[in-house]
Amino acid sequence: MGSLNSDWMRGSLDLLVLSVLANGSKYGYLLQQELEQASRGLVALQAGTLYPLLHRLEADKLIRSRWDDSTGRRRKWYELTETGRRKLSQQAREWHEYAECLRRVLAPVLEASPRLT
Amino acid sequence: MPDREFELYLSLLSRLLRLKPAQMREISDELRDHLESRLEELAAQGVPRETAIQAALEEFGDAAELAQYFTHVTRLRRRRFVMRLTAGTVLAATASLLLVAAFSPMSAPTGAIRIAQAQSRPAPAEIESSRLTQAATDETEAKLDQPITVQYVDVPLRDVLSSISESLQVDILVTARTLENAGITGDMAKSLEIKYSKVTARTALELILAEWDLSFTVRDGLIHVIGREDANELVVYPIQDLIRSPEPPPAAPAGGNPPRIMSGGAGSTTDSTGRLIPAAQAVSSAVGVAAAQFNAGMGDGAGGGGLQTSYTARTVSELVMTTIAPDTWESNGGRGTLIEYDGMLVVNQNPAVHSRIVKLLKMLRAAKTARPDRDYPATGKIPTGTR
Repeated sequence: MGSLNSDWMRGSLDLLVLSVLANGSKYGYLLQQELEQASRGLVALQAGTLYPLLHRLEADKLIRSRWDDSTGRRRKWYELTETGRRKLSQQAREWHEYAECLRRVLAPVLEASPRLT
Repeated sequence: MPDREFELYLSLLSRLLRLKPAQMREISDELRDHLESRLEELAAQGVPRETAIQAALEEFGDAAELAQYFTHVTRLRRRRFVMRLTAGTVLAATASLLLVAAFSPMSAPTGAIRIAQAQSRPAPAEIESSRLTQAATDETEAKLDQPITVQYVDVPLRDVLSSISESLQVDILVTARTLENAGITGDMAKSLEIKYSKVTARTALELILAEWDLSFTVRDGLIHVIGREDANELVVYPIQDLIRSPEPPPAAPAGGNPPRIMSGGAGSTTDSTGRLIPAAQAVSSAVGVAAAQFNAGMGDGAGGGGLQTSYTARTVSELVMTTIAPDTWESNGGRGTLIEYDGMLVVNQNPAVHSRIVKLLKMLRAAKTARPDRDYPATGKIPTGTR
């Protein structure tokens, strides 16, 4: 498995970003790194995708940001809003159900054909 | 030196961001933090700084593209404002436009009678007076004919429109009512993957809006997004000159013999009721009669004209329906209708199709007048064999 199907990823990017923010606020670079680790290297978001996505989530009030000027460099931190947290748990449940459903439907197919590597 | 490259990238990006200075600075600061963080990590891995900067910048990709993404996201609020404003003024505007439509004589900008659908017209008040000119509309039409490359993946409609508006430098207006009628709610997100290259902006916009069951029209230099149903306009095209011979040129009256001579010889023809009328008057009187009948109450749209006239009028209408956007006609499940009415085509279609019809008729007229006399010898032979 080299990379994820881009169609599937596209539909779940918001959810992935929200979920990485669920365990505390992050700045863009940190978020990118953690997402890559959490997905075992499969989800490597480009900055060009990540930042516009973050700004959109912020415009939709799912996350909010604040600037930290205490270190030499200005850094923008993002965290979930209440709305974002609610949407995350709701969508996580939906995705889980969907994945379960797919697993059940696909199980016979996987058993019938040996895995190609 | 690479450090300068770094600064250059950020300043290029800032300049490309078509945002307020404060927003530009925030995005620039945020990306600077990202680039510096990346550089620190690469340095920790022992990558030389120069190589690290190159790598970090490559990961970021094209500054122009990145700037475009940011500009779209940040402009959303402004777009929303424009849309709300439009929705608020549309009611008042509708009333005044109905009045205008009632008192203004029917104009015929392209040799056709245009019947405006006043309820979907924009409010004049919301448009800057400087753009209310024909020149502005011509300019926008020209911009729509430019080639464009667009690529969107899972992008909401409003972002798509902002982006096209940006690249064409033309305002695109959407009213809340249009969206409501098209059943578009929320952020108008739709999972779609669009990639068009080397098409005209007009075609790209048509294809994109069709995804949402929308269309557009150009008025007063602005692009107005409209519902596909609203898009239809009723236009009457007089085609008498195409289905009869062209008027004889003054220098060579014999060359103007109509091909369908039934009786009476050169210089005469018969009208739809069989009366013999002089050739010079045939075209104009037919237009007058038909237009009067049309204005009197549209009639049932069927019939009219003599047998031979309707035969050739049918040829023209078949030509229109088979060569111009075949899918959009009612007979093929579309919404467009075409009725032959006494040597005229009464067409209810969207503006894009109308403009193509105008073009086609223009071509037919040009081809007809270019036809040398040998194609229509004075013997009265009919090439189509309708006799």
